[in-house]
Amino acid sequence: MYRCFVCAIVLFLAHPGAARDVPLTSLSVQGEKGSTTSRFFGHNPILVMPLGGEPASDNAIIQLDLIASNVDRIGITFERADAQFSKTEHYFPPTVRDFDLRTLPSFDGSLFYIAFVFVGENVEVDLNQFVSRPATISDDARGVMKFRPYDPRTINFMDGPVFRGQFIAPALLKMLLWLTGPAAVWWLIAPRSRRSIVCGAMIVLSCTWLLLDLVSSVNDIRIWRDFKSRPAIENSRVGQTDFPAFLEFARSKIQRDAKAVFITPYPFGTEGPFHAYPHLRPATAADAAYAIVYRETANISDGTLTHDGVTRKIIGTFEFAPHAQIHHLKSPGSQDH
Amino acid sequence: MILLTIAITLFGGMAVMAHARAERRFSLGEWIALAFAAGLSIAVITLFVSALVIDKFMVSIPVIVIAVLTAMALPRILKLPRYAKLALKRGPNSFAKLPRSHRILVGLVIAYALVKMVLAFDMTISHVTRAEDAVLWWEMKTKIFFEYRSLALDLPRDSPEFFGGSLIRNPFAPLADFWFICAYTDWPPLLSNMLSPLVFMSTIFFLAGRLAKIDQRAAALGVYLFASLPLVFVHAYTSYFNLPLAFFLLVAAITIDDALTTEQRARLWPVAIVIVFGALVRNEGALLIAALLATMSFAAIVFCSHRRVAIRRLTGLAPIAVAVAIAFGFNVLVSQLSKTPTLAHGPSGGDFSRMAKGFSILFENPKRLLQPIEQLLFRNEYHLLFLLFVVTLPFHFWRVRTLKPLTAGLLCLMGIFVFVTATADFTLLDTHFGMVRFSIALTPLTAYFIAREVGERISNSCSLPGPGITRH
Repeated sequence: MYRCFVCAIVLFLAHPGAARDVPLTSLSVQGEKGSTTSRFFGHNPILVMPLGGEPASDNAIIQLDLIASNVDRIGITFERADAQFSKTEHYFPPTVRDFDLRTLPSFDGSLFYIAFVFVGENVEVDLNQFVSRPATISDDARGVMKFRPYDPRTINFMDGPVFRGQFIAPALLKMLLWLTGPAAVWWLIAPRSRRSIVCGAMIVLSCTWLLLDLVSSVNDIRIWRDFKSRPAIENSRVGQTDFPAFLEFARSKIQRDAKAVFITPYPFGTEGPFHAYPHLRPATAADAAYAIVYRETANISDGTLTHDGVTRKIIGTFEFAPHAQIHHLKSPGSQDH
Repeated sequence: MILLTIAITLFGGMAVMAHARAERRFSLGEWIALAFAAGLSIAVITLFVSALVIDKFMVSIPVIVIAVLTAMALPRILKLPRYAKLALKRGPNSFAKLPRSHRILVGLVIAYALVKMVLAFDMTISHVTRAEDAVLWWEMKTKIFFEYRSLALDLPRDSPEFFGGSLIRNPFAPLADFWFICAYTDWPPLLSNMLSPLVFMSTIFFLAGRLAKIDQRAAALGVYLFASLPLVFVHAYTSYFNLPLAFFLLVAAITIDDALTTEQRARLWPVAIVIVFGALVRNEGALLIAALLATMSFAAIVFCSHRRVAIRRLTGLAPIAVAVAIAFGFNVLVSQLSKTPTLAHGPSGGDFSRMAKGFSILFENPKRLLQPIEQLLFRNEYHLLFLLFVVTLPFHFWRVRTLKPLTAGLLCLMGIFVFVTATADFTLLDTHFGMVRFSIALTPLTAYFIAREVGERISNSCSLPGPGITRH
């Protein structure tokens, strides 16, 4: 019973996992640098991979492992990371697995994104892998130790380094699980070798753990040095923008305890009230004395501002920059003079 | 000044622990870890009571309470260094008696943990935490306390989860921050982030102190398993309440296990105070501790060969049960007091109906249960820990007739994690609960479990006496 249970666990864990069936309402699939497994269908669906303007050597090969039906050809659209907004199209048959970006015309550096268009009616695609990777192993090895700066979303997802187009941790984990199967069989048929099997397994697991820890600890120290090289406010989510300076400007122009509504896109809408408090008190469009508009087109016409279905009269404006303005709003109960 | 505040908190907690004669049960590491949490609990609870009674926050009241407690327990606290010295040099599992190579390994892990702790503190004060989710409203409420001396129960964020007792509404997390900033005349930026590295440090102390009773090498292994997990370390310098929840679950599980498996009747009220704090800050903490209590008690009665003994020991757990009940009731009360009660929130009704819906979905499609396991094992680096746990699990099923309470408790928490993640879209939670909150919350307990298994095998192979705990 016990041995059957062990075998069942091992076989379950060693199973590579079938493609998840993800019927998409939209016709685009957002790819990431790690492996993506999904099924999608529709008319000319698009597969997009953001490449973030990284050097070409980091993402020269796109691994596209798929089974497609009703596809005439696959079109490629990409945007170069240079100053010019450049697009090109390139078609290839839907049988290609590894696509070398260096073969593209006008590919001479870094890309912001690359999109694959599956041309055809009623296209159905089972996508097993959609990843980018460097062309050579030496570039890959360098990529593992590449600095990954602190990203607030790491609180939810710890992507980790990528090797041969896969996140290194799951790749090592899969390798361990595949080794577990033969080891379990060996354990069952050769009781005298059990001690050496356990020792071997512990050594492999410890080495894997130490390797992952080394990579992440080195990166942690780099993040720490990165943090220390700047003032604390610049390490926030809005720190690389002029938003902190704009808030400082707002504090200098608005009296303390005034109520303000922030008309800003994410994440400034959540960060703004926090950093401005307690000088500014968060309010709605109905009861705010000021509207702080940042990187958002406010609905202003004839000296009035409309936000969240509420229209308020503007009695003054402080401009920090064309994209950053403070509107002084007339109090709701006051009379016009 | 913040160091003085932390010192007052720590001394207050040590005094509480000393009043319960805890030095006989706890090692130095456990003592320090629990003292911090107990001190914070005392400070925050007295602060809150003072606000209820005289309608304003009087920082002097917790200070007076802590001073009185400390003065009464001073003779016992002064004996602590002697106990620590004895534990280090004598005792069957002392550091001094390890082989040289093992001492070097243990020393390396100590150095590693120290570096991680220092890094966590320094990184905490070197960046502004993202002002979103928990932190935005947590810190915002702290600022409201600080500026206006008023409780802010209602803020423009909805939190239907776990009967509305999440940290967004609960005033205790900001109160903890308020306690830290009480000595300042102006708002000190970044200070409230301090709780995360302090809890990271406390968890390491608690793991080390607890496991050192079994074996020093097991202690080193447990600390390394925990401190080397990347997602845990990110939480150590980012103010989310996932790591504190992990600490309170660890304390609760080990305390319940102790009470159920030791001959000596323990005084659990200082631990109950710690647990009240953890459960008050987040209602899921209260629910998870209640689940631990129920499962471990059940396992102790059903799988124990001496049922009468087990049933007699159950009565000792009353302080923890009362603590959880008080915390849960308070959280629901706070939820009701706020302007938008959350008990009957959501398109499909309240929490109970949503959970029932989740169960019915699982019965319709049991394959959903495999999804969280697949995600858990293949998503992040820290899941290697859970792989280790899965590998050790069959060895426990082999001895299922003598299933230990701690194993049963951990399996129960894992089951809750799988259920929550598998039914996330039906219970109006999101996979964040499963993939981050719960998996982080389970990490120290899982690390402890694995290290304890290894430690017990080392102890048995060396024919050394155990930690003084009678196992069934």
